[in-house]
Amino acid sequence: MDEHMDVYEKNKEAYYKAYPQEAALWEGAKYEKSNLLIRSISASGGAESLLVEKDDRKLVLDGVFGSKERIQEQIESWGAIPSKMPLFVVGISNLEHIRAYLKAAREDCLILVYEPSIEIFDYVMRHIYIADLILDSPILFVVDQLNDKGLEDKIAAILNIDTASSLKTIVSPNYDVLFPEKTEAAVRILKKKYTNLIITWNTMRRFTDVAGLNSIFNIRHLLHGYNISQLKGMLRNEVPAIIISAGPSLNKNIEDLKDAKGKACLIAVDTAIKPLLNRGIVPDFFVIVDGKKPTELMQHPRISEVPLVTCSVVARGIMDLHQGKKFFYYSDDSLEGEIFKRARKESGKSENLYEIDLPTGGSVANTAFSLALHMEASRIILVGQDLALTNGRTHADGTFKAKMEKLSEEQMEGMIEVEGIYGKPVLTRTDFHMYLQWFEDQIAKKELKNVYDATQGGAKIHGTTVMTLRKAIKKFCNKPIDIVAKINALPEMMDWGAKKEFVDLYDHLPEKMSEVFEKALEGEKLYLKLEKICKQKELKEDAYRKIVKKIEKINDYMNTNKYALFVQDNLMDLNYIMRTAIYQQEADERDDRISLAQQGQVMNFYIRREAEKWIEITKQVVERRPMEVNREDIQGSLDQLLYDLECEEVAQ
Amino acid sequence: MNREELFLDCRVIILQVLEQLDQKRTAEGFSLLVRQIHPVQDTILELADGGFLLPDDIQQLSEYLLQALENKDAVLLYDVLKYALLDVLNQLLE
Repeated sequence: MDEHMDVYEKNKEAYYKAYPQEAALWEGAKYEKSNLLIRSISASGGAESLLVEKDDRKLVLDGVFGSKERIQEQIESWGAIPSKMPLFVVGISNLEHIRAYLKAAREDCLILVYEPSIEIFDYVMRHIYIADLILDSPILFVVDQLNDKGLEDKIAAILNIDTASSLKTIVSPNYDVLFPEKTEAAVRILKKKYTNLIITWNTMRRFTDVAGLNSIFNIRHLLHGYNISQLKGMLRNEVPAIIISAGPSLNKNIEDLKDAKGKACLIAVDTAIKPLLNRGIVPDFFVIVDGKKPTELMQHPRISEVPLVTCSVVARGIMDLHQGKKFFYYSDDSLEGEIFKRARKESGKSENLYEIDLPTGGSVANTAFSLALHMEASRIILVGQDLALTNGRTHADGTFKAKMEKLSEEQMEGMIEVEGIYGKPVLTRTDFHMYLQWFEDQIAKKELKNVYDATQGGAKIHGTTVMTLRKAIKKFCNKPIDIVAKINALPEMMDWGAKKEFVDLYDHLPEKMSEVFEKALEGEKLYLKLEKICKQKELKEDAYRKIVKKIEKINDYMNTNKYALFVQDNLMDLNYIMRTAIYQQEADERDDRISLAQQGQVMNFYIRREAEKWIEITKQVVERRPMEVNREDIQGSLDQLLYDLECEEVAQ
Repeated sequence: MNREELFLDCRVIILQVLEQLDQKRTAEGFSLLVRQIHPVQDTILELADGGFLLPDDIQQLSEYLLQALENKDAVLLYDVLKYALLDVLNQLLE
């Protein structure tokens, strides 16, 4: 058999095994070809390099004299390669460099290879043996026209906060010249994903000091709360939703919203609520996501009339101020997860007790947009969604101040220019830009054709249709809907059994925090013992294994127990240092073990201290904000039956 | 100019071109080499005449250098200059 045919068959078989759909597309040649001519040329040391001819220009994809040296220099420039290092490579070339990276990296590294030319990929598959890399290596292959739509998700898959700092990006030789747009687009996606990861992490850190406290204070509101799952499909693709944000352009058309009341679902973001209520416009919902939002922004005599869409970690002042109906989305808080789990177990109607997330790009308007999708709005109309400065202002009048001031020159520094809604460039902040990109990504990904931008100012949101609010209301808001009646018909998410279980959990919070404290103390002691064992001249294997087994139990507890996770979630800064440090390994095995034992002591020491803090806080909260279930909580015949049974038990 | 002086001159030119390419100033790198091509060509001839490289290697080196210049291929130019020509000159000038 021809040597190349053998290579081709083996590669094909491997590709079919690992990427069946892509392989079928490739073999069926269901892709567009460009005018590339590819051939192999001999390089030093008997290796082969690839030469590509494009537009009468011949370019090599690798050196011919010093390929190995160049790759080696690159690897050496990275220094010590940490565990789980993510590596993003644009261009498979002849894969020699990828083999070298793989050899130099640790076994658990994550390599994503993006090939922007299907023809180069095809050539490689037919001439260079790569079946082993396809099947038996930690490499993900993304190829132009075969699976490049999944590039963004694949990039997200190799990035996480523990290892992001060690990310390496390689653009293979001449790929930037041959495929400038695709290379640039791929690097841009990587940059975006990386930035989003860091921003999300920093946001979590920013709110860490309040998230735990908010959660402990707010969970009591779940007792009489509703789940956003109860709003699923409420608009049945028949009624539009208007997302009202607080951008400066809201001043222009806020009055028009009066005409939409009762004919659309009005969803306001937190800062827009006061300007609306001040004008007598009562939205159907308002949404909050911020853990530090000042309570004053919501202080209005009618605030409790508006159902609140919220989660357990938002600003506790606002949660207490608002006495109306609260619809909860899932905050990813460990404690909340435990509440839902236990409540489900004891509930007779657990369908409303599942954690439902509302995807967001970081802004409350993003969350409101996800809510509109969740409710199956026929159209989504955006108002006050400037996502840019309008007349030098960030928000509408009546939000943070009665009359918003222009930003100072100093505040304007670092602004970026984006396309305005009417085509002219406008200035925006980097966080606004991120929210804007999230909207555009969602619209493109979900192929939404029903999003209208009625902001009448600010940045252009690609994928939306620009229309004045007045026209949008006239055109789309024709069908009357009584959302208040629909909401009033909903039962609270917890029934009698769920509520009783939740109250029990709440009352025992201090004991659970004490348990975390005890476990952390035990862990600290075990790691100290481990350090001593590791420092001995000769490692006593038996003693070492015994102690490691005990430590594993503690670590399992710390990684799975929801109360332990809650405590650790509130140690974000330390968490980051420890998590990244775990992947920085010592050269010597003995030093590595000692270092691990020391890190274990530090981690458990901080968990113990943090747990101690939460024992006190939960004691106070449970005492000062008690929860109870009584007759008023009976919502149906099953609740009544359970209540009667309990009364009988007490009487006996 | 004797052989050593020629090699030294050529080495300096190569280092300057590599510096430009390292800095991603590709056009400047090519322009510099084109302006200073004679000492480089003379060096290659001298390497052939002196038997410092095999005729096949000389031919390959010349062909790739020409290909790099004709196609404005900075990757290939860097490769030829650094890992072929400069390596040999460094050994000879040691």
